[in-house]
Amino acid sequence: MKSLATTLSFVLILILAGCDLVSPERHKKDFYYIIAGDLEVNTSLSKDRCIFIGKTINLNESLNEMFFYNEEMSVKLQKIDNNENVVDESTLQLNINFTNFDSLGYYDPSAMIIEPKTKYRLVVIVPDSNNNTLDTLWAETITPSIIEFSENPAFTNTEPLNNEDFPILVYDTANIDHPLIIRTENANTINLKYKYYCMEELADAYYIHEYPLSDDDQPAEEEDYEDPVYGSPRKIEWFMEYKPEIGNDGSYYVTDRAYKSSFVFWGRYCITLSSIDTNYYKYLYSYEGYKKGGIRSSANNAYGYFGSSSSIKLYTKVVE
Amino acid sequence: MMFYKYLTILILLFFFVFSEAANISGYVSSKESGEPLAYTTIYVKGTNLGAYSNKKGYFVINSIPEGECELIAQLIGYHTFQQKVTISDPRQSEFVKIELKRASIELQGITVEDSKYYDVIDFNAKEIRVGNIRQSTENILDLPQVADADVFRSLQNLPGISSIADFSSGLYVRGGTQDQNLILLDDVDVYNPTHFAGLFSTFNADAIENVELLKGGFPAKFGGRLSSVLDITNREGNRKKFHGIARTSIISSNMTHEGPWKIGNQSGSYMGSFRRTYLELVKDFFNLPDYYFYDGHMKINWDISTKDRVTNSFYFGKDRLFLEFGDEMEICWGNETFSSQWVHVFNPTLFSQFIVAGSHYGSLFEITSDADVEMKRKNDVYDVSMKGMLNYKPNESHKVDFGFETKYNQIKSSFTSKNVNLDSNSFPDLTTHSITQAVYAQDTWDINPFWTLQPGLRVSLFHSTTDDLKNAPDADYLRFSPRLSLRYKVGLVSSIYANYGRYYQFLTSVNLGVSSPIDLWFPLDGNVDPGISNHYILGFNSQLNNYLAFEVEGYYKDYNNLVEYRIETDYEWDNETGSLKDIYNMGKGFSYGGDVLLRNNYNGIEGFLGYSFGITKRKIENVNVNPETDQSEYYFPKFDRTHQINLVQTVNISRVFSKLYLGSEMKLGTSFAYYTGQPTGKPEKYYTDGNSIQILYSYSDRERLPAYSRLDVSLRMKWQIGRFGLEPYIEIINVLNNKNVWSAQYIPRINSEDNHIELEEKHTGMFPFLPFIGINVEF
Repeated sequence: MKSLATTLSFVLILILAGCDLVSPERHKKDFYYIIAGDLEVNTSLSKDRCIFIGKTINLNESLNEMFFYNEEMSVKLQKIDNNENVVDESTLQLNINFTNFDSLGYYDPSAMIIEPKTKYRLVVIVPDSNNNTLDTLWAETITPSIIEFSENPAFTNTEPLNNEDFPILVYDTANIDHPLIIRTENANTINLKYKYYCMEELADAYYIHEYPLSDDDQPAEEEDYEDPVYGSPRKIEWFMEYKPEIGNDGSYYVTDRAYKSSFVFWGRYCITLSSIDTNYYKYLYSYEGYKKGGIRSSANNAYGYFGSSSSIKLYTKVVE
Repeated sequence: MMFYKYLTILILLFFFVFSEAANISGYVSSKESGEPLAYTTIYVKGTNLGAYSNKKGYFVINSIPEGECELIAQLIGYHTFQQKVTISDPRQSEFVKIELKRASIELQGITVEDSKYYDVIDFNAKEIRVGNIRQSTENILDLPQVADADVFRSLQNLPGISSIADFSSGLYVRGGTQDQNLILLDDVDVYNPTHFAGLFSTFNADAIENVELLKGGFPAKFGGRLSSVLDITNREGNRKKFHGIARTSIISSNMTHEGPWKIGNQSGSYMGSFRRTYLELVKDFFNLPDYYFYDGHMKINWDISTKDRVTNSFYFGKDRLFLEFGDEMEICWGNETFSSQWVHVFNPTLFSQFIVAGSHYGSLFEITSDADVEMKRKNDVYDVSMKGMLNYKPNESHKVDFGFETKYNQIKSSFTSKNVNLDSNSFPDLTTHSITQAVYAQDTWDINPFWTLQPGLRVSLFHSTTDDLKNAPDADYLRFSPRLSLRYKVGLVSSIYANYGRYYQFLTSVNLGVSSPIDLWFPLDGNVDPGISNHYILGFNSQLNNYLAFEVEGYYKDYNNLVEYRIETDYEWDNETGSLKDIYNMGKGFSYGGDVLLRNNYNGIEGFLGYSFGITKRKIENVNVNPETDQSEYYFPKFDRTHQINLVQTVNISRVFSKLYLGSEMKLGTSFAYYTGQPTGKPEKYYTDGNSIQILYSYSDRERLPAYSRLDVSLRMKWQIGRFGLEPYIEIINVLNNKNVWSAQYIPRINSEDNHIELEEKHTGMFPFLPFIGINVEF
């Protein structure tokens, strides 16, 4: 009986142990098209704010391989009217500056100003290396309405030249005395994205709160201050769908009275408040959002997002 | 109406006339405490006639021949009981009260007791027990464990059961998830019974009499979950004397007290237990999070007569975590349960338990700011159940279990906000009522001394209605769950068995593949079919000798209508138009494998060696999508472990060497675990999103994390001074300080010289070398 038991066990183990314990490679193509960027209302696509159009690279490739470098490639930004007619069109040009991701991609030499509540279409035609076939990528966005910041002495919307010129925001009373109030055009729900960026250098960055299991008052290394992928905790971003409320003056407002937890460090901040379109919003919140950003392709498998936003930039200095 | 027809037919089926003969029935209890002893083998010497005591200690043996016979009762850790019984009438019913005395040895005037231990093979058990593991309080307490002894963690060491991480006490049984386990505490459903970060035990081990885990193929009396049943029985309390035990460590203390009660000619027993952590008192010294939990068990028994007993049982527990980072965040969760049980023996062959029970699980996630802003997510699960469980043993060939269960659930899930301009419709806000009715019947038929057949059927009717969702149709599901087991006894000490069972689940917790204490529980609506699983099990077990038992089981389970939470729900939900299908990603899966268990109990050395091989795969819509086809692919979930080896031994050093050390009984506990590394994704390509370099990941199971291994040891020394016992102990977790990995994070960095990207891999570790000290006081 013992030998039967032993034999049974060994047979069982041998049968079952030959199985594959991991999955195969997922992204088998040489590359996948990428479009990543958003149009900012009331501005144009400039060399300082490009839209990235290119491809994925393999783990052993350099950033230089992210572009097609094909002179036959065509990138057009089209303005579309309510009847789906193209009423304006710009041909975008490639700009490469690897030191700044905002400057990496395509800009509009004709400086077409992006208008609010307007549909824009991006059309990219990519010939293959022999120019035999064409892949077409396209995406559309409807730009959001303008948002405005309600005046507040703790913030300024032009970047002060000197440290001393930053308006002061007292941390303890920030939520109560200086709520962030945005005026919107109507009562329609909007997607708001908040970005809090600490302008202090690592050496001057001191934590506001003690964190459990740590007694550090400063981040120990650059990466503890600014994660290479997400930029946190130096940069804190979050986004949510908001429903504006009507104020006493008949205007519509979104008020944030719980924002001070977004400040991790004392010091100067640049705060960007953006009303964003559905494509960009879906890209941000979806699981594997790069598949949900509104990019279409004649050859399928184009990733990224083509969105639009209407933003406000604010500057302040957070003190005790 | 159809349901009631089935109910009537089933009842009639199992009340047809069986022939009756003389029988011996009774209760088995501990001589020291008077508490019932379950799983005791009772047999008539020199015959094939025997029985097995149930959880209440009750047994009945039929077909006793006329004349004098010798009744023998055996349970490991206890002295054998023998009693002569004379049967003079073929219709005689003899009632016997069996008291078993703990086996012990005297060492220099100190009594050292044997561990209570359960056989792998229950030769006189009528039922075919498939995937069955039992543990006593002693088994649990002797293991070296983090912070304090834990039912769940002690089970995680067993083959076929894995944990997701050191920080979790969740049970992943043979490829099932945590919410697919039916957890019963004194026959009441308990939802999400976990404490923060898995550091603390789920239930206070001192309050628990025994734990039975059915890893699959569970019998017809259980239903409503897809994977396993964890049946926990609270102690009834000492019926002979007052007894207490207090335990204290650097982070928590607990106290248990028990004893008899007597009012007039009525008597019974009680047990009460309370436990609390006090981390919040020392949080400022060690910069710890502000956290505490408390829980309590209480049980009161009333022994009305030999035919009637009433038991009332209560449990409550609450965890609270508070963090302040500008705004305040509070997370609370907990369970409360009560059950009232009436045990009634209609006649010696018909034993019954009727239960009225209630349970509540609640969780709260709340953020508040100093400007009177509140955001609150609440989930409440209310459960009111009535059960009747009857065992009818008309003769020695048949044992029929039948009964009913009616369960009313109310599930509330809400998001509320104050002074925030959030769209109130954008979060699920619903109240759902559901009624689950079930009847079951199962016959254990000994065809001959070698073959046993156990057919069973559970019929469930589920109805739910949702108050707030206009588009959520009511659910009405009638489901049949057949169960079938077959056993062949190979000689006196071995058996081979096969089992099939079908299982349905009507309530589910939604998570992202890894459960947490504040996962939301939801029922089904008419758009979401109940989860379904088929279990196929083939097993062999053998009591190799008096000290060793061996068990091997192979299994295959399939799963359909699995649900996982769609994270997009938090952003896309519309309470005006949504139905529950919008909250879930639906899917399917399967698991197969084999468990091998070798248990030993020899002269103070007790434990087991377990090996488990398991493959679990799942396919969930919108998860693990193939970029070429846009279809989901099968993947190994995070809790898939493939190979698992566990060696757990408790050595009573005093018993082994027949010697006291510094006048104390000394015990050494060791626990070693090895698991295949968990599946994880890895980078395949890079892209930029316009802000930084991002990673395009592989399937979530493209590679395995490094294999996990951990050795824990404990040393306990117990001094007995009169009726007082003093037991200081030291436990060391991860003695070898093995760097076990919980997750891998990848960070791409640009080399500015050649614009290549360097990829850094960072690991999040699990428990390092962790010592704990504490002291137990018995009085």
